[in-house]
Amino acid sequence: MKPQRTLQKLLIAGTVAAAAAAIDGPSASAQTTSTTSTTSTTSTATSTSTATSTSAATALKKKPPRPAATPDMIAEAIQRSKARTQKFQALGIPEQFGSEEPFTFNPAAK
Amino acid sequence: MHFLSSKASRIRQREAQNARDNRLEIRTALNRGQITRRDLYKWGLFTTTGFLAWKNGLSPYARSAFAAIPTGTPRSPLFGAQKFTQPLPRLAVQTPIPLTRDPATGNALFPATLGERPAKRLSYHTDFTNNPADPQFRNPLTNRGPIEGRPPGEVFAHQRWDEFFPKVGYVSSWGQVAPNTRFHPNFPAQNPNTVWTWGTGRSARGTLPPMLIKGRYGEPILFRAYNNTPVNAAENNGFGHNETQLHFHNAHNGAESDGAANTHHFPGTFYDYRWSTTLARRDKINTGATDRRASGPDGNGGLVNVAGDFREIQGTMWAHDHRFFFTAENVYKGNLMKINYYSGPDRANEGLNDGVNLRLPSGSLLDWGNNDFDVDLMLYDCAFDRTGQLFFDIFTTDGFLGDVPLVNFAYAPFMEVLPRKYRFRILASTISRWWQLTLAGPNGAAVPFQFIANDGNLVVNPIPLTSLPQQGNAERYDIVVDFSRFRIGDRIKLVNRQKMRDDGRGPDQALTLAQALAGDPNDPAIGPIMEFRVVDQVESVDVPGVIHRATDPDPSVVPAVLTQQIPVVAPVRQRLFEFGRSGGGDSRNPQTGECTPSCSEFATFPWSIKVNGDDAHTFNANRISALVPRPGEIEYWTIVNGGGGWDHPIHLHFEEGVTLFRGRDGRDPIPVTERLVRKDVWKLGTTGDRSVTFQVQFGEYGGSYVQHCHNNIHEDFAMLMRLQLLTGVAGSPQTAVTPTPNPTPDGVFFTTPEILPEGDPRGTT
Repeated sequence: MKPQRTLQKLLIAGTVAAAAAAIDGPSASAQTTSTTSTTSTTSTATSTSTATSTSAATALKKKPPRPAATPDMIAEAIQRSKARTQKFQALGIPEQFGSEEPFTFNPAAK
Repeated sequence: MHFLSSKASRIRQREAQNARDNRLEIRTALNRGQITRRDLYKWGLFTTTGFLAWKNGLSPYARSAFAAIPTGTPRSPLFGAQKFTQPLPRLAVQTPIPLTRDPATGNALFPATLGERPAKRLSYHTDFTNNPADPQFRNPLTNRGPIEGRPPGEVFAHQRWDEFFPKVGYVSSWGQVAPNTRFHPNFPAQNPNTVWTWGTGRSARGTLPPMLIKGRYGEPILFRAYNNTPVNAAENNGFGHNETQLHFHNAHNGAESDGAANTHHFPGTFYDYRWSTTLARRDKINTGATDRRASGPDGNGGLVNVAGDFREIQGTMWAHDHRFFFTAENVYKGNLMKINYYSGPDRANEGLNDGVNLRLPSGSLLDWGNNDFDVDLMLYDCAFDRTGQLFFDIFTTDGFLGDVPLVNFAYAPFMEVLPRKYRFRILASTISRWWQLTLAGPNGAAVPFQFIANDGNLVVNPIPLTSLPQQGNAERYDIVVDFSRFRIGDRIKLVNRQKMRDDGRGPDQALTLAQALAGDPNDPAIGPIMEFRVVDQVESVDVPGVIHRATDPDPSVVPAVLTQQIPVVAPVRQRLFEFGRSGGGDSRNPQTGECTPSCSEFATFPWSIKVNGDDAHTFNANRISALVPRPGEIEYWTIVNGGGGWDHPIHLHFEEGVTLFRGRDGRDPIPVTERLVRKDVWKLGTTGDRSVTFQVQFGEYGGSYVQHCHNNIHEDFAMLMRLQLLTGVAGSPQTAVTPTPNPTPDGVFFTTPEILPEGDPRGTT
């Protein structure tokens, strides 16, 4: 069977609506093959729209880069991980590691 | 991978087979350029994030037309093969080729009879660059580009060449598997382009079982790797990429020989790796080489002392493909081998008592490196299409699980053993599957054993166990089993108890031994995967023809102390690395859409890494995510699983870390096999704090290395980061940032990498 025929059959038999027709390749940022420095902007996104909104949101709360970790940073990472898991378990919404969602770090939490 | 139950109806099996066939057809069409990713989007077969749509008739996860459960994946045909009906193949021990030094040039000369050109400090690409019209430096197969893939110039010259001048060499070819290669006598032979593995010699076909190279401290190795795969990348039977860089996991080598500096090479070319056998800390500890414990066997009962810290001696290692973005396909296809290092203490000669040799079970017919009672076991799981050819699903970004367990690339083999002690070096050379192994005696009870090494590093004291801990991808566990408690005729089974999640993202619960022995209808890789048969005599593999008998004395010992603990000290700095799942990733150049290096047209990259709490990134070889400014500085690294849904075995190249604790401030339990133990792979689970902290330092060499998830699927999509070490010897190019090599069939060009500021401590400490 020719590939095109198989694909057409699948389209007919499929239970999921076809995705939008002309979506281009995945977006990305902060990447070049030259000497460009990347010191800001969010770099992971699933689509143009989320990239834009995430980038803007992140730019607002962007902290200066920290080339070493502190105990609080590690604690925050652990707390965020747990929060993502809880959200996933409660709502079934896949976690979005790259786009920061509302979260309040509690340094005193054990 | 959701395998259909063995009890599934024929109609369900047919449905699953059709889905797989359709994926295969799409894959083939993509491979041949008959369709593009854009076509798949248009037809709705790919989601906007680049994943295969969950369509009935296509995806194994779409609901079945006959039930509200996943369509599933068809079971691999076994052609009537039964477990434990073929003997365990021992790995193919390679014979070293003596090299001599040309005093005039400083080159390493192979014996003239081999017709091999000398090995050199500077690559042959350097000659090609300087003499582009000279045919002797061109790829003889394509007449394009250089004959050697190692990049040109001083930066990719072999570091410390004279100091670690190669004394022995190996010439091997990666290419089509030899005719009549099969994983069981009942299985069909694999087609030449289904399996690409390593063969001995310049123009050899690939062979199985994989190679075993025995190295020893004090005897540096030159490994000449020829790429003999087809020039046409589409001639791959649906998976695998005809470009490779070979990573020696986790030996202490310069970046130019680590096999992960973005230095893959092309069909028709070779790459000279110099595996230096350097003992870590040689510039810092025991610099005068006076400690006999830091040594290698001399072949005549004596030792050759080397500089360095004997506590960092390595033993059980391996090598595998590391072509970025295609590692899973290539490793699965057979690009892997085993390499063990032997040392004064860990010599693999149980009969020699000189006060240094630990005399672990091994044999004594050879001066070192005996394999009679020291056995490598490479665990692997695969799937077949309905014709019995190796099958790989290139559409998965979560994980790939096979339903056929292999040991040393043989389906569920048996091994005859004497009633005495054996050492087993167990390697999880699997793409995504984790293992949890227990030995079941004739009565079904767990058999006790001793755990002696983790990731090739001896533990301070042997650890008595009745079951191994979870074993993630690339982890190596060395154990000693004493079969003297059994009678001739007894059979002992090696049992996998580790259930995996259907999607391959990580492990599920571990079954009890009784449950595992009963098998799992949904996962044939659970249950017994190998059988040991206690017999009264076996033939030596070290000296064929010699017979070992059950009545022979067992001179081997497992000493109460195997090594000493490396002290834990205050660090110069701490670093934080989080591994999580994001959107499409930033591996592609937004202007060109290209990856560095090249990647599949339809690949997207959900698996990302954050450094020190900053933004998440997916792999780009031209981006440095962490930079180590100076040699010898103690650092603490904390690695965190950024989400709860997936497990990640995280691998650090080049150096081992002393595992300090799990969880924040050590509040999570840590297995006794990990506590203060040196490792190079750490599992990040989904319970507790999901974090591990280890102590690490870098030295002796420098250049571009990586850290990544060793679930090879996660790694390819693209949970991997570049690590830049400025830790070379003073005055060498490896004290500066390495320009990024970009291999092409016409030669390597360099670009200047970007450096993430959150990973660069220069100027702050």
